[in-house]
Amino acid sequence: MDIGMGKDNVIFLGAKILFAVFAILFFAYPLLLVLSKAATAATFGKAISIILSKQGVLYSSLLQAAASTIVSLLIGLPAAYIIARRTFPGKKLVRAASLIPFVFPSILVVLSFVIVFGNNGWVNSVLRNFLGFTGPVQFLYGFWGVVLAHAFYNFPLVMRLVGDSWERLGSQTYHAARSLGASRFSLFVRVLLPQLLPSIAAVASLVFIYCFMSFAVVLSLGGPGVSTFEVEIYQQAARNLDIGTAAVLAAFQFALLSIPAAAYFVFSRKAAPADSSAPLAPKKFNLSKASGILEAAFMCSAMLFLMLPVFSLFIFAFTDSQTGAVSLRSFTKIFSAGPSITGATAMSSIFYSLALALAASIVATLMGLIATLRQTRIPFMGGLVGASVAISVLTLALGYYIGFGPGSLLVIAIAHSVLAFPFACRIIGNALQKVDAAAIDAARTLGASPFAVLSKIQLPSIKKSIFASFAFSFAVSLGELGLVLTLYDGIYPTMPVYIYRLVSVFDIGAAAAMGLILATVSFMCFYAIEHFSEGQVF
Amino acid sequence: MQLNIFQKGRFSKMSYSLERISHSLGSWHMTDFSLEIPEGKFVSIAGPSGCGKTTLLKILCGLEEPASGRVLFSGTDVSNMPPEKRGVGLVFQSDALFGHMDVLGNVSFGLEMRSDSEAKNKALAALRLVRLEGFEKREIAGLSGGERKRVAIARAIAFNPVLLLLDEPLNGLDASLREKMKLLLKEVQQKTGTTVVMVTHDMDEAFPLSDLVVVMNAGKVEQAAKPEEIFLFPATDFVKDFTSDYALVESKAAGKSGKPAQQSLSASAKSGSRIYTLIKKNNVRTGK
Repeated sequence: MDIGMGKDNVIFLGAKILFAVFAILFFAYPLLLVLSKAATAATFGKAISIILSKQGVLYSSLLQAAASTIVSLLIGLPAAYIIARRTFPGKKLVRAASLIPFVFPSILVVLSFVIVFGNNGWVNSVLRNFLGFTGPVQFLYGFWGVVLAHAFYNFPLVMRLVGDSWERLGSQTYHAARSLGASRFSLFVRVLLPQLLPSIAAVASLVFIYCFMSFAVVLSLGGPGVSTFEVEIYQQAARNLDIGTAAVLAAFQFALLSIPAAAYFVFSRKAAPADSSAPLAPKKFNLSKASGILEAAFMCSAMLFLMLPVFSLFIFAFTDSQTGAVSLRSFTKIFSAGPSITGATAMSSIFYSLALALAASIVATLMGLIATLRQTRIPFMGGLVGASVAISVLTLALGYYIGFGPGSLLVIAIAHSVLAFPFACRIIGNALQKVDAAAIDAARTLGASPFAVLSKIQLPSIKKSIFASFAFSFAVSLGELGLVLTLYDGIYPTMPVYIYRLVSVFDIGAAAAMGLILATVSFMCFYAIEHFSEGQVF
Repeated sequence: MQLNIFQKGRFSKMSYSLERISHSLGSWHMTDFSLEIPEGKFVSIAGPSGCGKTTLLKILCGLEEPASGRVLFSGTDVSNMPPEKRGVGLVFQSDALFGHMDVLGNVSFGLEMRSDSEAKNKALAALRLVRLEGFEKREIAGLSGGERKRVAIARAIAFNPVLLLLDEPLNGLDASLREKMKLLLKEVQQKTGTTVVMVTHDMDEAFPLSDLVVVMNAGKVEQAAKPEEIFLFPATDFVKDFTSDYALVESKAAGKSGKPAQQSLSASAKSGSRIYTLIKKNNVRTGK
């Protein structure tokens, strides 16, 4: 009978082999290299002392990540309440802003925080010129600067994930509790909060992981005494060329992060509320009451905080730093400057970034598609995507360094595609799941081969998600700093590397000009993701 | 004739049989199941939900591969043949229309998969058969339940399948629409001459349409017989119970002027022939 090697079998077998090469050679193999390097490192004792010493990297990472998570929750939870229970103009935009942590390059957060909160920043110039302060108020470089930047990055995530759960909470338990005589306080503590707790715990785990693995923010703003494993891995591997110590740090971090990663996994499965009755309809702000004014004021401040970096970049890029007048000087400066400080000209830096992002997003989207297609039946996909939450950028970078050495632009593109892969899987996998299974069966009975099912039924139905996945991967690659900095320092300065170098020598005007170009491309991705995913990324 | 594309007897002497099929799905099992489907007939498979009717259809069209046993089309073993090679049309319970294509795109899909140069004309003919002329460019999302079902039927017959399978085709339609669809199904079968296997849990549907009714329970055939025989001579206690809600009334067609009420369904009722009417016992009232 006709079950031999048809054309289709060859295509899907080829796809599976391609995926196996991708997963084994570029994901499993580098990680195993790191682990085996860690196990055999002669500098094990040195690494442990870096980790465990008083004020060491473990203490510093835990403290910083815990504080950042708490501050993110303090801003994010009230914002979640407002998102769930209030209607106001621009709400859709506010909701979309939750994508910012994923698409806004971290180096731009650093840059804009320097512009606003730095020693010569806006806040300090107000203090100096209007309030009579003599010296700069130093708070950006160090613990609280890092926490502030992390809060900026993560509160929108809290707002979105908890807000979505809150919005879906059924009204029946609410009405039942009120009819049974519950006060507003006991209603919140005994009825609402228990239902929201799983999603709060899930997002707190996620935020903790992100802050714990933070790189660019801590590298630039941390200063002495504030460090993370990621920064320490970078220092050991790229600066001291001590791969063994870096590997021990990476293995230690991986083991530590598997705890919050497991917590995220467990809590996010419980996050669906039990009461499935129709939710309460959100209301307008009641501006005749103090509480209503407070709510509106809080939301406005939160949005201002979120928009600040973009505005500051925009204004600073177009301002002449000497005269304060509107000018294009920063732009003409970067495009006429040689590569002496930055390692490359502005044009080639932009070119490297775009080429990398293009290649990475093609690979990530293709692999995401192969991994989630039912025709290919890749085993253990859930586990693979889940594990990738706990694997840090610098761990991957270190694995690539050991395995492939400082190599070509193509290898770094593949590394970026590995970073984007879990997002591609989630976006495309969700979309594929929504394709009617019966429609696929129908196509088969009508004579469509498995490949024809892919090209005629599945791909046309998930077209938008393919674009969304592409845009998301593009943004991930575009903003990535740690991996490029570790692996290919000096050879291919991407836009984030270019900006990082300018920030390091405090040429903030030029950095802002390049930052604005990077931000513009990132926001185009952001818009594309919102447009094509119709708000369904999470 | 406008319908000459549906050539009768394209596969003459075609017969379809399931031979000693064993299969299981979760807690449900089917062991040593055998069934013969006569060519050109309308066969109904009736039974309670969960008795394995839909699985049987999936095994026939190749969407489900039986754990053991053989599926034979004219003596050829097709058990391992993938669904796209079998040429079996299936109308899904959920319609399973392709939402990203218009009506014509859906109906011509099977023909395009076969690179049929007459795809468009044949699809239009199928649409005419289900009385959906002029619907070619309509979007699926804008169709009513009855229209969707008819598109699904047109799609399944357009490529001239050797066997047409219907999975509870009247489910989810309102009462008057069901009656119209019954007539349409019968008409489609008669005009195309295709062998039809319909799955239903409702004897109301199986009785008027079928040449043969197969009553199934828990993965086994309880009885396979002409519709009236199922009621007149139930073979097992299960069949007796399954049909106990109904009463069969037997009558004879009167002379030329007498037209029994169900004439439209029993199209060939000639004067003097037997006419069977199925009544729901609960629908009977007594009066003075």
